[in-house]
Amino acid sequence: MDELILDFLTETKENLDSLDTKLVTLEQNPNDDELLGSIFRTMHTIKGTCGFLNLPRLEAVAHAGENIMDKIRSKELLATAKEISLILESLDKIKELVSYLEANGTEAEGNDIELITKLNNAATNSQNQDKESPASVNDQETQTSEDINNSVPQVEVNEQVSIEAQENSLTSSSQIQETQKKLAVEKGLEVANRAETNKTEQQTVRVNIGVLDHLMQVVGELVLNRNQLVQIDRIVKDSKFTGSIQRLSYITSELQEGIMKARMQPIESAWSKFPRMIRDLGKELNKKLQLEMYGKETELDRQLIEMIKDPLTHMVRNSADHGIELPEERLASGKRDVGTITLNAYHQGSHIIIEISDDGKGLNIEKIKNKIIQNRLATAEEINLMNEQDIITYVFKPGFSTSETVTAISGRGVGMDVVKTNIEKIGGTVDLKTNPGKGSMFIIKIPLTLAIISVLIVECGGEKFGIPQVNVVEMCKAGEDSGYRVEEINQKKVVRMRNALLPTIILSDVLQVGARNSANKKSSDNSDHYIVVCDINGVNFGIIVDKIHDTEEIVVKSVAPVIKSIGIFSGNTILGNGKVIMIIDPVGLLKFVGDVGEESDSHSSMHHLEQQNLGNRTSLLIISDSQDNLYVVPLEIVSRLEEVKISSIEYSNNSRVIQYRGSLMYLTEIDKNFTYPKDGCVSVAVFHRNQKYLGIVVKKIVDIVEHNLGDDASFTDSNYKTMVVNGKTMDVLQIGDIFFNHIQLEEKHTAPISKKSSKNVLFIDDSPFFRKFIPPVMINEGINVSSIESAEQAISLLESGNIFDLIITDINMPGMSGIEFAEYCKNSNRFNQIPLIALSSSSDDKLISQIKNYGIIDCIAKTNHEALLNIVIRTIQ
Amino acid sequence: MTSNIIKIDNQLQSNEKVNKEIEFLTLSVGKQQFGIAVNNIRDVIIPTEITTVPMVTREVIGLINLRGRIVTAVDIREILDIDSTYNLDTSMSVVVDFRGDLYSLIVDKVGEVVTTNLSNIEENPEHLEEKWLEIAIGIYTANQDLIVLIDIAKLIKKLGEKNK
Repeated sequence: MDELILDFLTETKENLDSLDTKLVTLEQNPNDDELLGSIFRTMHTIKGTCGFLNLPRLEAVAHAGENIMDKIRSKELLATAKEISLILESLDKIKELVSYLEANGTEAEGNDIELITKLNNAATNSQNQDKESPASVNDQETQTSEDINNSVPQVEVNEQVSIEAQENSLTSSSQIQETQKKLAVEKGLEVANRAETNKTEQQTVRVNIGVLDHLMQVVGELVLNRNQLVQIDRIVKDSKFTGSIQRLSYITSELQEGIMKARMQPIESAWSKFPRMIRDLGKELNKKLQLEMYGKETELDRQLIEMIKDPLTHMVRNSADHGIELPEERLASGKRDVGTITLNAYHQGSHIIIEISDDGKGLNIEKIKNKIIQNRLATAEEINLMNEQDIITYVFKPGFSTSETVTAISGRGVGMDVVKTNIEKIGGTVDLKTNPGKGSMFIIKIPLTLAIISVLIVECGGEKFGIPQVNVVEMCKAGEDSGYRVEEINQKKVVRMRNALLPTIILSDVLQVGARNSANKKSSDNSDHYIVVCDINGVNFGIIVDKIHDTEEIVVKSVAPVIKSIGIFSGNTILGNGKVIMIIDPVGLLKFVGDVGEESDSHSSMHHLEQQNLGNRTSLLIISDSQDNLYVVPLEIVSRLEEVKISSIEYSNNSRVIQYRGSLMYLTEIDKNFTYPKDGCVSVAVFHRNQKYLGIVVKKIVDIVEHNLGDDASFTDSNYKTMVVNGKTMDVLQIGDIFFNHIQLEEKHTAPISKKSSKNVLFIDDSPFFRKFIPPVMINEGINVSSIESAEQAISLLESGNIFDLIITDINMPGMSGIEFAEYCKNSNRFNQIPLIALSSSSDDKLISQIKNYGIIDCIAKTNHEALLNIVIRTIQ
Repeated sequence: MTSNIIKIDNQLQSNEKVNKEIEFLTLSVGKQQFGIAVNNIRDVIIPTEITTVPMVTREVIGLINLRGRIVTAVDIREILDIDSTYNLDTSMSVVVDFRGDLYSLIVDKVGEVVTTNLSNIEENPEHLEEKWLEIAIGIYTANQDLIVLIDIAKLIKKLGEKNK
C-alpha cells in the first residue's frame, strides 16, 4: 500500500476516535465554540486528505458531514441529538470505508447517496442557500483559507505553537492564492493539525512499535553494560576513565528513562471510544447513562493499553447493561434517573489501578447463588459455607451469566472469565466489589510496565535473588543482638516488631536452597539474618534472608513457562556482573507458603527442628525437683508434657503407673524426696523409648528456653552433666540412665543382643547433647559405642586402623558434613563395606532418597531412638 | 552452506530422488546420538556460569546468560531418562528457539551438520519407549551410528510434565 495512504489511515483512525468523544461532549454543551471549531477542523482534515489522495467516496461522505458541521458552527443549525446522530452516522460510514481501504488498499465500490442526501437535507433544511458542489475548487480554497483564519485566534492562546502556526498560516494563506489546490489542502491540513495538537503541546512522530521495542531491548543491554563498566571502574584505582564512565552512566540512565517514556501513553487512548459507546448503549437500552472519567492522563505502557482495551470495554458494557437500572426503576428506588458509570485510573506504586464503577443496583447475591447451582458450578451446601466475596468471584467463572435476558450487548456469559484471564495474563488482578442497591465496582490492578524495575538483591543459601523494591517496606537485622528474634506460633514464624507480630518466612526453607552449606555458614555467622519486610496489598510480612546486597535497576526478562509455573518467580534478569538471577514475586511467594503451610505442617515443623540445630540452638526444658533444684533436658527428646491426676495413679509391682495412650506408663520421681500431693495433679514429662512410656514426675515445669549448645563453655564439666543456662547452673537430666534403671528393672529385658556383644559402633555428632543422649540407647543394648564430634576425627580414627561394624553419623555438621563423610567412605576400598546410618533432625523423603545415593542405609530422626535402635540391631546382626 | 545444499540438491535431482532436504546437527548425550534440525538452532556455545533455579523440575539445569539473553538450560537426560552423568566443564550447549524463549540443551558433544534427503530418514522403531516416540521424528543411520532426530517443539513441551 502507498505509504501516504498508510499515514492517512493511522491519522484518520485517530481523528475518528477523538471525533466520537468530541461529538458526544458537544451534544451536552452545544454552545462550546472551541469544541465546534475543533470538530469542524478534524472533519475538514479528513475531507481534504481524501481529496488529495483521490478517494472520492470518502471525500463525499466527509464533505457532507463537514457541511452540517459548518452550519452548526455558523449557528445556522442547532446541534441537537438528531444532528449529532446524523454526524455520528456519517462517521460510522467513514470508519467503514476506512477499514475497507485498510483491508483492500483501494476504496470500496459504490456510493453513499442515501446518507449524503440525508446529511445534505439536514444541512439545507436550515434555511440555507449555500449548496455546495464537491467539485468546486474555488469553494474549497476559500473554505480552507477561512478555516485557517478561524483557527488562528484559537491558536494564539497557545504559547509554544502559536508563533509557528501563525507564520504557517500566513505563508499558507498567501500561497493559497497562487499555488495549486493540492498544496493548499496540504498546508491547510498541516495548520489544522497544529491547531488540533495544541492541547497536548507537542508534536509527534509516528514510530513503529517494533522499533521502540527493539530500542528498549538495546537500551536494556546498554544499562547492563554500563553497570559492568561501573563495577570495573570501582575496582581500578585512580582510573582516568572514571569521569567518562560517570557521564556515560548518567546519559544511559537518561536514555533509558526516555525510551521508557516513549512507550508510555495516557490511558485516555484506551478510553476514547467509551463516551460514544455509552451514548449508543443508552439509546439502545433506553437507559439514561452518563460517563465520568478521571485520571485520563495516567500513563502506562503502550503494550498494556492495547491489552486492556477489550477487557475494559467489556466491563463498561457490563456496567451499563447489568449494573444500571432503567430510569423508572432508578426513580422508584430514590435515585436520579441518570445512571453514572465512572472510570478512574491512578498510580499506586508500580501498578496502575483502574476502577470501573456504576451507581446501579449492585450484584444480586441470591441470583448469583441460584445461577451457581443451576450451572452446577457448586452445590448448595458448598455455597452455604461461602462468604459473599467468595460468591461474587463466581462471576468470573467460565460459563456464568446472571442476566435473565441475553442481550446483544452482554449476557452471553462469555466475557467475565475472558476478562479475568486477559488481565491476569499481563500480571494484573481484577476484583469486584458490590453494594446492593448502591452499585458495584470492578478494580483492575496492572503493572505499569513490563520493562524496568528496581530490585533489592538478597542472598540466601549462597544464591542471589531479587525482590522488587516496590514491595519492600523496610529491612532489619535479625539475631541475638538486634532485638528482633524469630519466634514461632504453631509452627508459623513471626517476628515481634514495634509491638506487632509480623508473619515471617525463611526464604531458604521455602526455596530449599543451600541446605547443605548453610549449616556451616549459619553456625559460623552465629545466626545473623536479615528480615526484608514486604507489603502485599496492605499486608506486611517478613522474608528472612542471609544477606542483603544492594538495589539495582534491572530489565525484567520473562522466564520460560516451565519456570513460571513454579509460581514464585516473576522473571529473571542479568546483573552488572553478567550473572543471571531470579526475581522473586512476593505475592507468589506468600501464596506458595500459604498453600504449603496448610498441607504439610509436619514437614515445616521438621524444617524448624532442623533450623534450630543448624544454628546449634536447641530448646531446653527446665524442670525442678522438690528442693527446687533445676534440671535441664532437651525438649526434642521429651514426648509430651502432661498433668496427671493423682487419682489416676495405680500401682504395679510397687511402682506407680498410669494408663497412658493405650499402654502403661511408669512414673518415676525426679528425686527421692518427692512427695505426691493428696489430690490434684502432678506435672509429668513423658519420654518414649522402645515402645515404653516413662513419666518423670517433677515439682514444676519451669520454662522452655532456647540455648546455644554449640558453645561447650556452658557445660561446667567434661561429662556434660551440668550446664549453665541463663546464668543458672542446672543438672542435665540423665534420661538414658533413668530409663535403664526403671524400664529394665521392671521388665525382663528382651533385647536380642547379649551384653557381651563385641559389636563396635562409631557415632559422629557435633552436638555434645546428642553425643550424650544417643549412645546410651545402644550401650543399654550392649553395643560398644565410640562417640566422636566430627567427621574429620572419624576419618582419622578409621585411617588409624580402628574397626567398626557400623557408623552412625549426623548429617549437618560444621566442617565435613555427614554426606561428604559418606562419600569419602564410599570411595574408599577399605571403608565402603561399613554400613552407614545417617541421623538428622529432619527425616523428609527427599533427603532420604538423596543420601541413599551415598550408600547410606537409612536416615533416622534424631529423636526417634526406637527406630534407630531397631535399625542398628538389624544392621549389625 | 547454502551452496552446499544446492549442490546436493542438484545431485539428488539428477538422481531423480527428489524429495525434501533436511539439514541437522548431530550431538551426543551419553552413548546416544541425536539430531536437531538446523533451522531450530540459534547458537552452539560452551555453557558458562549456570544459575540454578530453586524449586524447578529436575529437567531444568538453570539459566545461562547468552549475550544478554537469558537461556533456560535443559537437561535432555532427565527428560528422556538417559542414564549418564554430565560434566558441565566439558559439555556443550545447543541453543534453540521455541515460541520466543531460548532453551539450551546441554549435551556432551556436538558433531557435525548432516544434510540428507527426507527419504533417508527411517521411521521410529515401534517398540521405542513412549517418551522417545513422542519426541523423535525418525532415525537416521550414519556410519553405523543411529541418530535419533528430535522434534524440538515436542521436547520442550515435555518440560515440567514429569511433575504433573
